[in-house]
Amino acid sequence: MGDRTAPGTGAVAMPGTTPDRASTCLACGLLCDDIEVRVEPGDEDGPRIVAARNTCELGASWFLRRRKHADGSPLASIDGLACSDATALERAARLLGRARRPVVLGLIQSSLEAQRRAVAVADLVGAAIEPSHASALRPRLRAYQRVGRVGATLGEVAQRADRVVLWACDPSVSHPRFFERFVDREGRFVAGGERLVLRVGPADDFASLTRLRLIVAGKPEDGATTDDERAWAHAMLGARYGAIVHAGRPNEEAGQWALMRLVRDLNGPGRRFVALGLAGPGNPAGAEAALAWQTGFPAGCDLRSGAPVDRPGESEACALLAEGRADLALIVGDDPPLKADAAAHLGSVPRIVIAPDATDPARGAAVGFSSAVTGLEGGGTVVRSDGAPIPLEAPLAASAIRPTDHAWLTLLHQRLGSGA
Amino acid sequence: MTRLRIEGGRVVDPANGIDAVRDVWIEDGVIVAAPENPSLWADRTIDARGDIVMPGGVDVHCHIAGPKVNAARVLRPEDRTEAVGRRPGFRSGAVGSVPTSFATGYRYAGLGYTTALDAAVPPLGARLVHHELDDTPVIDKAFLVLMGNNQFVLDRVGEGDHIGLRDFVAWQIHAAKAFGIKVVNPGGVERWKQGARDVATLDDAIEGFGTGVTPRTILTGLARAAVDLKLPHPVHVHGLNLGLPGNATVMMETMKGLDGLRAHLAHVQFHSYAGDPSDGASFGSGVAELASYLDEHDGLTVDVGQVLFGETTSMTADGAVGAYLARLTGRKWHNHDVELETGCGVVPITYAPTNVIHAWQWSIGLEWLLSVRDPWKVALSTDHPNGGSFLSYPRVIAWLMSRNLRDETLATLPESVRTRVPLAGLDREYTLSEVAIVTRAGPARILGLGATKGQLGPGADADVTIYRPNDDVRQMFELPRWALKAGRVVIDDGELVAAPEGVTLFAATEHDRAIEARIAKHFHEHSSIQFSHVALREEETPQAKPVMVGGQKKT
Repeated sequence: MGDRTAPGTGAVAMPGTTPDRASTCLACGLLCDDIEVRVEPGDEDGPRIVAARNTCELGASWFLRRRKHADGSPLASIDGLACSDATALERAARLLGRARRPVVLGLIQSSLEAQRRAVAVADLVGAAIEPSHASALRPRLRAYQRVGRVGATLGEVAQRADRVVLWACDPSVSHPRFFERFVDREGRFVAGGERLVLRVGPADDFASLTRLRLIVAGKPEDGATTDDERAWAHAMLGARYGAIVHAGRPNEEAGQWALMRLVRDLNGPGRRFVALGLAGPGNPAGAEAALAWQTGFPAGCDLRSGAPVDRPGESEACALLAEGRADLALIVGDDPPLKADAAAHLGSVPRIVIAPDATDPARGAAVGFSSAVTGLEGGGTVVRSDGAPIPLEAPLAASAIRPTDHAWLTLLHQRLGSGA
Repeated sequence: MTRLRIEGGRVVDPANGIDAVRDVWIEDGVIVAAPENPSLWADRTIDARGDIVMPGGVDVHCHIAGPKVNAARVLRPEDRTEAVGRRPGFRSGAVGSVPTSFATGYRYAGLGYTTALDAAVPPLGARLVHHELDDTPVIDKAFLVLMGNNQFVLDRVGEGDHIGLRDFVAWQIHAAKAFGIKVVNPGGVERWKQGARDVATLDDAIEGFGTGVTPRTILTGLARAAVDLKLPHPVHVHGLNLGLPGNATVMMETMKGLDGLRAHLAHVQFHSYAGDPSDGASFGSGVAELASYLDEHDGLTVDVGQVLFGETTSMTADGAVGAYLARLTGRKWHNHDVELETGCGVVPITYAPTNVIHAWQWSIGLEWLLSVRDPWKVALSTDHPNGGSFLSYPRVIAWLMSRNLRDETLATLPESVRTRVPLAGLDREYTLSEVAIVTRAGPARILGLGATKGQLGPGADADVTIYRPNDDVRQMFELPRWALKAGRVVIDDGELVAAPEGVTLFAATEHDRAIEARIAKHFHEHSSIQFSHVALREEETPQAKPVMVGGQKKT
């Protein structure tokens, strides 16, 4: 990976500063933490990143996107009009205090620090809270709660895996540096020193995984077993340490369950096997972690009764929206992807938004708090999908004029009259 | 300035040789000597006449934060038995074998425990653990970093580079803001991750790290590093062959192998079995010899890892043990291999009194506590949540104080067990002072925190628990009447009334900076994280509090 330079800047030749420590990229779930950026003092819009080294294309555009620091949009707004921080906090606290069925949404573009605080706010006001990736997470979670998961950190794959099975995913597109960082790298304990990379893409995850499990268990084959599947099973059984890498699929519970069963079955005398899920961009795993230790529910829960509960299809924030029962939303970050009925209802209730673009009238926030871009202007901690926590260097933090979402949430929490 | 007087209680403070009726005086969170003019002195007086006053409880070995604890919370929604409701000043949560973080703090405090050591954190996860512990209120916390399968350690052992090993340990503790070193199945987890069988003896070779790398050389190398660095707490050991019949032999060898060094041996109940590894029916107790050895040799302490009958969650950095339990029980299994260092296994487990092995395990834990003559060498633990929840401690205390209660439980066990267990022949009943030793004074001393924890002498932290005497000992220890944390009343007349933040204690090690270049190279070659991102910065750990290591002066 070479230098990536913002178009037209000729940045590398220009005087600038390079932070001492590498930055972390939030453009995809790999959270590459070796990005060396170059910051220019810039113009009236403030300092900017003019070069980012070690990035992929996704990362380059994430770091180099033009972000105006003093573009005139206010730090706080009510109904799209600028107001003081105190007035906006007062209004937000009043709305939250009056709401009968508030929901807290978003969270996955925030630092772990902000996520912890968002759960505290939800607990205080008795909201239903749900991270943006909850609907994709739930089938995976249900399967996990039935069978568990045999997994590893990404570095283990780099160090040990002699079989890397890509299950219906193409990391070269979704997680472009996956191969560079974890596969095309010398591994200290790779049996025989060679890795076999297997690209697997069956039409039906569950059916294919079930056939593979039969072969792995040495049982009579299913009549529909394909030559490809026999070859995949043979390769898996030949592993000393194998890894199945998956991203979007299997996307339903049965498929996830079958994948976790297969990986578990593949562990035995002389052979280790792990599953590795690659997350989407930002910090979804951080949201899961903070929600899990504070409430026990990584995909969110309903705190209305005074204690965390999860009634699938009933108390989830998305269900409250779909049924028109939610009457206020606190959104931290981008609006979540929702089905049409839920999105329509979200559009009809007052929304308190904490996000970089929160005070842009186009966002339509009842109360907006413009926050620093996590990872560029705002620091903190993010969690990789393999559980590894990584600090954010936030190369533009020193010159950031917007508070972090963590800072806004802390002020809001205080304003609400905290206990904990 | 807050001044408080605890008046007229029976003070059971074995660290200071006290079991007598007297007052306890507190000023600004610390125990102080009796003032000259008591009548004008206190802002508040707690009338403890007729009550029992002890230092706050200290848990020397538990699992309350970190990746495997959080994995267990997610893995086991069915395990939540009780909701914790929010109220002003308190967060909501849930209690099961693995409570949520806030509930963990509340419930420890509810038992009158004020300090707890999480025994096993992968260095890679330390940053997350500090966050989680910051959300675990009331109690003071500390954690140990896993190092017994750390590849940088194994490389140094292979080179015979003790200085490099020592400097790395100092750096790692500094980087993670950890309290000390945990060794789990030294070398065995690495070998299992390599696809080889788990180790069986102390002298099995661990391949791939130079010559002479064995569980023994890893263990003694790390034990020596802890001694050389004058860490407050010695190396904390989870030994080989956990849970297997006949493992008392390797435990004895482990104890002998640590001769001349210092070590704390964790959850020894799980490591004290007689019998033939290939024959489950030969299962028995190996406690007698081990306990005598412990009594006769300085430098070693143990905690027990008492098993309680019922449902709980096993969790361990010993990935091979997790795999073994998953195969044995067929239940759901979370495993997570952590690069450069460790494994992790989480499996639900149900200890049944009708199960011969479980019945033996129950009796062996109590046998340990009742066999060691010097109570300062043995700490009460359930290896929470492995043997059972920390919420079971009052129950264990009741068994220790009453042979009748033990006999009642023994009577429910299979005949083949109750007629053979050495526990059946033990008449000893703990005194209150002995209870105070194994639940607070001893653990505090084992952790090297004896100056501030586990005692009520002037200068100690004002962590105090006050019990109302009760014939039902279990109830007495389950429901303290008052508890103070750093001088603040957190339990008032039986109610949890405040949840102040605690601190996370870490050992303030210093290291030779020259080692950093070597560690950086190691990370560059093998880790998925940048070396510059490993060490925690001060602003990342707002609740962290340094504990001086030997030879340092307070600044």
